[in-house]
Amino acid sequence: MTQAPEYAFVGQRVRPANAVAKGTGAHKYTADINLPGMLWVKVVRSPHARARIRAIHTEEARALPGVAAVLTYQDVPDRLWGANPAATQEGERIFSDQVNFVGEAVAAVAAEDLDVLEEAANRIRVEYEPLPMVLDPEQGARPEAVQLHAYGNVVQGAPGQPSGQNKRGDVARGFAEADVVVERTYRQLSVHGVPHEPRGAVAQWDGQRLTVWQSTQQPFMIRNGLAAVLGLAQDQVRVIATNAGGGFGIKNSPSLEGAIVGLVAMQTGRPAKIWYTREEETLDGHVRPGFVHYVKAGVTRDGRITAVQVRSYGDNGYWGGNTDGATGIAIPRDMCVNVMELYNKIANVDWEVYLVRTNHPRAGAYRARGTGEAIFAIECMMEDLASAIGADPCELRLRHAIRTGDQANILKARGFADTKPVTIVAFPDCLAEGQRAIGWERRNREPGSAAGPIKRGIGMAGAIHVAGSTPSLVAECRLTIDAAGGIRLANGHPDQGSELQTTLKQIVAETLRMPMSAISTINADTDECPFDVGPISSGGAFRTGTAAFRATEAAKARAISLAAEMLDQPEGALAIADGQIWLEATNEPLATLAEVAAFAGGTIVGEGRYVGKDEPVYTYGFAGTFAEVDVDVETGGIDVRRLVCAVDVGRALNPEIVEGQIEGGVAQGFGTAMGEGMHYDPRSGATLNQWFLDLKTPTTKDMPRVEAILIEKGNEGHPFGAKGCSEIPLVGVAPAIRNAVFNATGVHVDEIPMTPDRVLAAIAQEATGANGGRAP
Amino acid sequence: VRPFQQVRARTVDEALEALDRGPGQARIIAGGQDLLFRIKKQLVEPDVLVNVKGVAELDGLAEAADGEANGGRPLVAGSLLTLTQIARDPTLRARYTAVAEAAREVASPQIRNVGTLGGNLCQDVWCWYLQAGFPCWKHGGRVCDLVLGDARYYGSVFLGHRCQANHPSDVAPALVAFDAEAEIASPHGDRRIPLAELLPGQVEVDGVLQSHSLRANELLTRVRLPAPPADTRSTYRKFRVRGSWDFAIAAAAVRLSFDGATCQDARVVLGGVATHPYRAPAAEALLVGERITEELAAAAAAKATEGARPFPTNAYKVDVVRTLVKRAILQLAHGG
Repeated sequence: MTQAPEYAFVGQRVRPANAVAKGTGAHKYTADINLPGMLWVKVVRSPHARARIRAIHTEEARALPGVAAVLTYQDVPDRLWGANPAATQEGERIFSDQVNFVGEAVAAVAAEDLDVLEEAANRIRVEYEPLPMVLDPEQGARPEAVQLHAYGNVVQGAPGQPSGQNKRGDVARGFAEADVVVERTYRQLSVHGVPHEPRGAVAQWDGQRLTVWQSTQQPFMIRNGLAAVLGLAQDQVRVIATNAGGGFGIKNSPSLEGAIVGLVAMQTGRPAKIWYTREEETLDGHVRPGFVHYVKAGVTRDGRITAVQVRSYGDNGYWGGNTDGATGIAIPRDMCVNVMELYNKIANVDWEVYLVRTNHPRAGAYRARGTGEAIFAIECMMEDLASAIGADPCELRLRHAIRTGDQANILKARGFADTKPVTIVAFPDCLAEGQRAIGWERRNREPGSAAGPIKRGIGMAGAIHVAGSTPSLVAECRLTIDAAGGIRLANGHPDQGSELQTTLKQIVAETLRMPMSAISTINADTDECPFDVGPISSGGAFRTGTAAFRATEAAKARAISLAAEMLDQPEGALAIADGQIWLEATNEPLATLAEVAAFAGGTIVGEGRYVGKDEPVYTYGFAGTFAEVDVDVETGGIDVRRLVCAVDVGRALNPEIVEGQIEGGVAQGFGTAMGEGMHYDPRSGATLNQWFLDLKTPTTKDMPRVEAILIEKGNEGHPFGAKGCSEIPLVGVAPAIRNAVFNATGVHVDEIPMTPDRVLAAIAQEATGANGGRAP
Repeated sequence: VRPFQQVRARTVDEALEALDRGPGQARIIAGGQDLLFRIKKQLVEPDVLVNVKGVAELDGLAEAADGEANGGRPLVAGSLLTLTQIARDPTLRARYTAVAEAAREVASPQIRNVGTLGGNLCQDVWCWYLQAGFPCWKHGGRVCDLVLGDARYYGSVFLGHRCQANHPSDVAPALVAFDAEAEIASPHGDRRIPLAELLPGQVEVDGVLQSHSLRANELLTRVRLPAPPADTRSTYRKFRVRGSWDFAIAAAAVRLSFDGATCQDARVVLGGVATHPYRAPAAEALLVGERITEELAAAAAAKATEGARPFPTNAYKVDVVRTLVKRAILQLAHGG
């Protein structure tokens, strides 16, 4: 292990620049943007899960004084909608003559004020012809099911083929070698990201160019999608991503609000604003798809896992991933590969994922996309295999786990010709530190053996997730030093809460050896900033941070070169620190950076890029999550007493921010484990829990203190040794709690959220000896 | 939101005068925690809101002037008391412990700070079918969606009249456990009825299916709590998914009065499982005259849910509420 280098700024606990503004309410969100002459816009939504629109009567709404525009499928451009609609099967338009889930947008109204707006929306009458629905993914995957889409119900699948698959070795032989075969069914509900700020957008059209302010994680994708659907060139559209009040992955793709206000602004010539209610955010945001996983796994008595076979059926809703193809392609492809990368020493794997179109709301990316959909099944399976042979769950995992320098199979699954070596794997450290913190030796030798109705147990789960180095993703930065000595980093990365701009300033300050106060940033504006794919796949500090370092290095090299010319010194004799050019031999300042910029004609510019596919190595993140619980077997209540999350962060560029990401991620994982999840009416397909009250996001009274452990062993894939770590803290929480519940009670609770009804049902089921499994 | 007029009443008489319109046209507002979102969702569309926050007669907590046979004086609580005031009041905490405990478990601190006793008792049901706009009994239709839908959180396990959503109040079961009475002002004079008659389950009043029996021109002014016998102990146990801001999946208010180790009087009232605060006299009868044992507590708990007819999705509520009753009885008898 190399000694970590000493840094002045990187690794310091620098207070996030926006912390005070967010805490005091001074921070500006989309809802705070108001322009002169602005119209308000509201969407009319479908009460049917699947219906053809026979007619829309808008005359009464249009006749209302103060109504400026009414848009239906007859008024919108006949162009596909989405960041890259040609690449997907979806074929979504802004509005169409068919609705496919309860809450889908049918029409929009623009009016002078909110009272007129509501009245106008009430006056729009839609005649629907209800059509047969698909509400259950497993039934929808059958050939005899009602086919909802021209491409069938199974997303991205040829007839009879799964949406994604991972096959290696020979499972039949593996099962023949097994001493014990475990079969279980694990279920997880669809779950919403519940950002505190619902979606919103403001648009302004000046006759030539459209400017859109939107609460989004991906301003460049929004720009491209808006240009395509509105018939504009990309440079006619400017998107400014306002600081999002939470994104959590569900604001990572173009949702309709920006296109609707853009269309209103272009048609009326007036600025237009939309702001979703909480109900609309729930209905027409998007969810992580719910899944049922049929798992069959074999293990030998001496602890070798011989085969894993999984069949997964997921609820895509009708429109996958807000039309960016995130679900259609990436989720099924990644979920069966990603998680099995963690245990790449398991020789025989046969996993098929069927992501199925239904008449439920959209499913798409959600924090830790591609892992969160699958890991609950595999981490429960590991516990159940360990208990079947009396092995230590940590040891069984480590025996099959990925190691430093292994090849990253995910790249082949994603269509890249070559694999790359995986950088440092600190998974063993995560488990060791987690075991130490929780007191692993205190777990019950015999699950469920404690007396009394309230039983205590300890459990754990491993985790793997992308740590920023996704090959298809790109970030660019531009550093400008001006003739007054100002230093500004332009980057396209919006802030969804990870306070990346502070981290980037630390990187620039470190690289230029300048105080952070001398550095400013501009971000998330498609006119002012170079391209950045945005805060997805744990890439902020990793991708944009790398690009910021490279941009700064480029500016530095340019400054040295200019200074050498200006001062008539060899480049090798000069160094930069504290805004000055120094002669290294005598440690004497020769000129300021401002003077060099003036010499250059005004500015010194450096550009830097991170391009995933061109990087020589692949970085994975790892975590070990440990839970201690008390289970009340008479009420089904679970009291989570402790949650320890040890994360392989490579190096924490700002431990304050990293710990915040871990705490937030663990809280979100706790929500998915304990209460969150979408409840759809089994008859109509309508979403029943649309409000904070019924979405059951955890409160401070529910959360135990999160014990975040930073494992800092460096990472050669990043200039400062960092790994992306904003998503991985979420994914191990639910299986760790479930496994702790098993350790406490001896009962397998195989469905999340583990609400009292499910816990009591599992207790009753085990009492009657029923097995949750089924041969796939 | 449909425009409405607000009338600020200064006295009960002014309030009654303002309320005296056709059914559904005027609504009383105090804390507004139940009413305002129903207006926003267009579930109710009043022409007039009668704001009673300024009516001093409705505020305060005091002993009644008239005594009672057993020598104690009843406590009279104004309907404007906030839930926070109830939760913190030393007299209530000492003598009517379950009431103070129940008030402390309502919703969130912010809601308790403005939500009132009267509003908590007269609130309508929270059911996710109603909120999502389903045309149920409460919303112009002729069906209760909980019956064939998902009743896991909001469905009663005891059959009610038409709407099967459980009564949402935490405070009501605790008040019923103390034989509380409701004081009601109306244009025809004042009257006093047992709280159980104010909250009889879903009831048609002037053609409207309501969670309470008040007519549209009546006002709940005070709640009267008889003085409990000397050695009286009580508690309220609430079970829910979240530790705050969540309605009860099941709840139990239990009051036991003792003479030495013998239970002299008992009230067992269930919350979250019926369309009204569900008193279980058969369970109470098992306890009276007995020393409390674990077996007796379990028997009483089982008795309390006799006759339950849960839906497939909420049968677990029966197990949960039995456990709450058993534990509450044992806690009161033996501590802990």
